[in-house]
Amino acid sequence: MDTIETIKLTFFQECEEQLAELESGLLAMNEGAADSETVNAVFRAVHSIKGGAGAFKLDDLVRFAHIFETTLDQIRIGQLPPSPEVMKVVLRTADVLADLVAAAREGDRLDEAKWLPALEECRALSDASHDAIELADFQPVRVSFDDIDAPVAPARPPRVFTIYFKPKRELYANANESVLLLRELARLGEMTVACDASALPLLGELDADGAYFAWTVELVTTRDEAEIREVFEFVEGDCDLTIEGAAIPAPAPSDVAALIRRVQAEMGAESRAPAFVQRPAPVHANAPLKLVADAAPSEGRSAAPPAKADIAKNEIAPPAATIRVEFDRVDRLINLVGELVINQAMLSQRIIEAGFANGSAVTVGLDELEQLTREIQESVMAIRAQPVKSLFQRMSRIVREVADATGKSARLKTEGESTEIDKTVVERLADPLTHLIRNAIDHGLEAPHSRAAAGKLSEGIVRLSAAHRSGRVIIEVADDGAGIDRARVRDVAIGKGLIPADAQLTDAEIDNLIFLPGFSTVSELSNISGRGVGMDVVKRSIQALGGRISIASRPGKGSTFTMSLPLTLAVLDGMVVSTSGQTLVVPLTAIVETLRPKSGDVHALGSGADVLAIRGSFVPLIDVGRALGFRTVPADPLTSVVILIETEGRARNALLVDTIQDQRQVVIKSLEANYCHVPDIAAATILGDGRVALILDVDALVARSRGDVAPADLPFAEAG
Amino acid sequence: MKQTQGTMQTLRLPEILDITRAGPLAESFRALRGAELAVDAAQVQRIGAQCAQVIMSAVSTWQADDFALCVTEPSPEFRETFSLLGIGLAEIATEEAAQ
Repeated sequence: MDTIETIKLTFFQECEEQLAELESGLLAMNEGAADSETVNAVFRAVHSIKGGAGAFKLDDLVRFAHIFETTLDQIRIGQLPPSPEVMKVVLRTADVLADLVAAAREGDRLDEAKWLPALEECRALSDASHDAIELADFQPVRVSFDDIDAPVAPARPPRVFTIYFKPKRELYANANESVLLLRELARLGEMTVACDASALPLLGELDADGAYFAWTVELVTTRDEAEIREVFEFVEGDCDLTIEGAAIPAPAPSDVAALIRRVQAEMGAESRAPAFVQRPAPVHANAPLKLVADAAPSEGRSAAPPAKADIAKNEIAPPAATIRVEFDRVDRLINLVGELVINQAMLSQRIIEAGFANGSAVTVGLDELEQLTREIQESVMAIRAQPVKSLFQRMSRIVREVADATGKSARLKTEGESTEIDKTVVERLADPLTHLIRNAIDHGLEAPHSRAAAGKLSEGIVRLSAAHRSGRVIIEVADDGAGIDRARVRDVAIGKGLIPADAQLTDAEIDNLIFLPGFSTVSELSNISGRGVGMDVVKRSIQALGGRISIASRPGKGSTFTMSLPLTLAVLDGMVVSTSGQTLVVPLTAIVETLRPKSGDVHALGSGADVLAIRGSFVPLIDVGRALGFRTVPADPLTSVVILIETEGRARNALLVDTIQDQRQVVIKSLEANYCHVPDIAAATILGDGRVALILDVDALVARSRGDVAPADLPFAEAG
Repeated sequence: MKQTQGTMQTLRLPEILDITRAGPLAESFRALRGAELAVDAAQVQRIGAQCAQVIMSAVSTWQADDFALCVTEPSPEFRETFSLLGIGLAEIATEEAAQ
């Protein structure tokens, strides 16, 4: 990859961060938190994207970001109040900005039809704000952002820069404005500006869209040339620009005026009040006008009170130092740590086989190695872990879009955004989560009039939450809509031949029918929910992540989809067990206790079904070897071991296995990636002796054994 | 000597004079050529460089035509922008509204 491409890649990575920052800030503003720090952060995000885009000549992006920035600037200086209506447009504009960034990243240009309307909508917002200003009440407050990002550096001596700036016609055609550029320059220090109007023709020859003015600006500032160039970074191709800098000669002690000028220049960058020094404009031989700079003081803006942002910046904690690392490198590290874990397990095995006594130097050393390995593994996992916040933020856009498209009013409420989960899981959750959110609004929430009739607020709530529970991450998508129409779901399932017409199903079984392949078809789905995938695909996606999805629905109250996901896809703590000569791993997170059943604890319940009596209650007993087809003869419970487990639905079950071998950390090797999905099996692992062991999908095994989801006599037995 | 044609015409500038308004503004001026003109800038809230160009071109045109043109009651925003652009108003602006 060449240098430019590398820089470009970095730019887009930064764009991603800026867009997340933007979304986060806008959502906070939408909730009423339009404090200066938040608005500043939002403005900076768009400004940074515009700046970078200009460097790569991404003209559409620059143009769009520029208009967006102008509108945000008006919010920033108090000209445009961030009302709900305004925020709606601003949020939509941010969505389109993200689309433009995404298109630019792919090297494409987004169809103008997809972004021009948003641009005009955003522009209209800022125009309207101007129209609404009452002159008498207008007391603009200038807020500076220039210093916020700048590191605290020793004060530089002021220099004087001579800037020649001649816009080309294209500058204006690209919706840029010389006035704004000059205003930006004025913020950097003490400015003297002279306009060269010598090229300006009379009205008869004037092209109103042409560029005739040129400016020579003298700027006394403590900033460097790069910072001045930054003002012009997104118009550089559209203007003639020269910048020459020179040190200000040290004034003689008696030269009080020069001293004051120098002090003012040094203070200028902090006070942020644009300071214009009037001086006669150069007289050009052919100039039709003899213009003398206006002696009238610049009102309003120059008398701005101290900028709020300057006060706020002292309160901003410095961000934690970070480095950017390619994901591939982290992945390689993860794989190596995985191999280390396996290797360490093998070493343990050899040492046990060699007969070293517990407490010997070798076994103590091995224990320490094991401890270190675990710490390394946890540290590496922490590198990959990231909060679900970015994922949740993406969903707020889906909510806005789908609500707009369906004419429904919906609000996304999020909880547990700081919950961390493996980056891979986060990425692979985006699609299923998007589908669930779309469904929640499109099918879950009622139309406003129906909600009103049901005594609900017209605005529906979609709640998205994340939490750690028992070593897994639980993500829930809940709506306060009408709940699943079970009669309709049942009819659809019968109509599609998914269940027999006379099937007796519980409410939970009917709810789960929506996860069946073939329940949804493209032709039946609306444009919103349907993208050619049904809930079965959502379920498969979650399962592929080692997760499970369940549904709970209450008529009139809404539905909740609960996803239980592993924290990481790389390792898990498991109990290694044997049954029928096969070695299996039971995830430790599911295990409550282990026991040896006594005579009389096991009771037969109908044909082939057993229950275990434990502390005054009965739990279903599943013979794992038989359930997986390793044997046909039932195991003798009295010579076996029972593992009491708790499934996601908090139900307890007992698994019957022959023996327990060990409890250890195992490295997960995906079966789907290397072979194919195997019912009741979550993944595989490599044991210390080099053999492959299967990792049980406890919930799936229990569900199938109980016939909860997929009774054997129904055609959706393989639904999972 | 400036010619006078009886009653001075007045052109009231709109509040917003951004890049989209430069063309219409030039047309407005062209339609008013050949007579004294008072340009009422009291309502101007925002003005861009291209509209400033049109106004200054009009000033030159009126000078060339030997008619009077003055800018009346420029709003603070109008003044501030012209000052920022390095254009003096002393020769064209008057605080007295044209009658």
